[in-house]
Amino acid sequence: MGDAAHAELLDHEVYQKPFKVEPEFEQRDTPANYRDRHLGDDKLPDKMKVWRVQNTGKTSGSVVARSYGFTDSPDAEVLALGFNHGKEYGAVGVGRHGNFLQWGYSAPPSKMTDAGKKFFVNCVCYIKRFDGKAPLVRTRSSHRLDALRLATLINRIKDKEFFSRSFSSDLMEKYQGDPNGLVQYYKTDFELIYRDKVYRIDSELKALGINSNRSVHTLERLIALLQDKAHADTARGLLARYTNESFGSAEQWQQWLTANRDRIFFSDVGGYKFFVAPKGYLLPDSR
Amino acid sequence: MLGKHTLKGKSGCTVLTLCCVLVMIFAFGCRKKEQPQGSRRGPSTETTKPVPATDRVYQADTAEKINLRVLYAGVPNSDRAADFVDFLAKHFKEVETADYNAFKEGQSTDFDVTILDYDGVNTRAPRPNISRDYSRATITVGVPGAFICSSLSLKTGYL
Repeated sequence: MGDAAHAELLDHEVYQKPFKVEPEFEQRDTPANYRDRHLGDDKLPDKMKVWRVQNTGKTSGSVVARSYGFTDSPDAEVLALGFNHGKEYGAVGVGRHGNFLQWGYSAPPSKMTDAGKKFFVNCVCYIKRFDGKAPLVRTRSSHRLDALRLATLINRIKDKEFFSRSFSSDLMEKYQGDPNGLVQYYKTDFELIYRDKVYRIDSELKALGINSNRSVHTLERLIALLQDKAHADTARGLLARYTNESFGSAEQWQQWLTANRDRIFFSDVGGYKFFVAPKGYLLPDSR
Repeated sequence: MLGKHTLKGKSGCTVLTLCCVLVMIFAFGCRKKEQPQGSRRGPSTETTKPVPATDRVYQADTAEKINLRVLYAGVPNSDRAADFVDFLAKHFKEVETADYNAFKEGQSTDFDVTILDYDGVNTRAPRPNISRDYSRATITVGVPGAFICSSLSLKTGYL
């Protein structure tokens, strides 16, 4: 990443107080890497609106975090999208995970722009609100979007070992030389992707007619199926796959769900599991 | 008829005078609202204008310092650390320093926010030993910061 941030997100409160951050904008050509890594069906614009956070004059030296799954848990948020020439559009230049705020820009204050300085001071004030709020999840896996990103590369990277932790050998054989086919395979059942050594489609959920592994409704369905002798064992196995709980009875599962329903979230990055945010953890205005 | 015309004439004069007065008020009113040259400008009309390479003079919006205690853990005696501390001291009521290389998480106890900063760019910078129980409000900076985050399995980490 160089000196600039994208103009999105400026309505976040971290740009409003104590200083109003009022950047001066520029239009920059859309980096080739953005197009290369773009997973959506839409077309990226030719120019993008950015603002300078610092003035080092370099196009690298600062750092962004990957965007895939960054916000799949309520303890993390993006504060600035970093304009970069290495990763995807949306990669995180300034972001928060729990009590940590990562400022991806490299320069000291004397080389920050006026707006950059104000943004930095605001970040110091903003992160104070999250004192004592350690992260709820840690990075244990990669997000399901990575399955699509890596699938686009199977023709470009010749080292088969590179994909050994991403795709099963059966899939690699089936889609040899056909990255679009592999991408489509995962896109078709995107909501059912999970990781067990490699990216898989959850055929057990699919067979039960459940179309997502990350919806709280799925938990409801699985807990209900515990009462159904024909499907109870499968449901129990799936609850073990997608939660860190191990209740013995359907009633206990139901009690857990009822008590925590408003605070349950699913995180790919956290390991393709449902988690419960502790009571009082989420701040009213933090998201 | 004449009276009516006279009346119309007087009325026309009055309207004309009123218009002149309104125009003058409007004009002076607008002048009063004009921003002095060099003041902050809104983004909407500046979308394609390049930012000057040299930084503008930074002016704080608030006269009072922000009531936070900040610990800056950087590289002692470095220009960069002096740069940060000067800046932070202009804005925050209490700013103290610590040695990044010897940082222990217990040092954050008496501060509202801790800033961990090495040099912004070094991929081989040392990483302070921070436990996963650590929950103090903390800012990590640049590439070394991203590696600290990676070592803690945070989403803000490198790669």
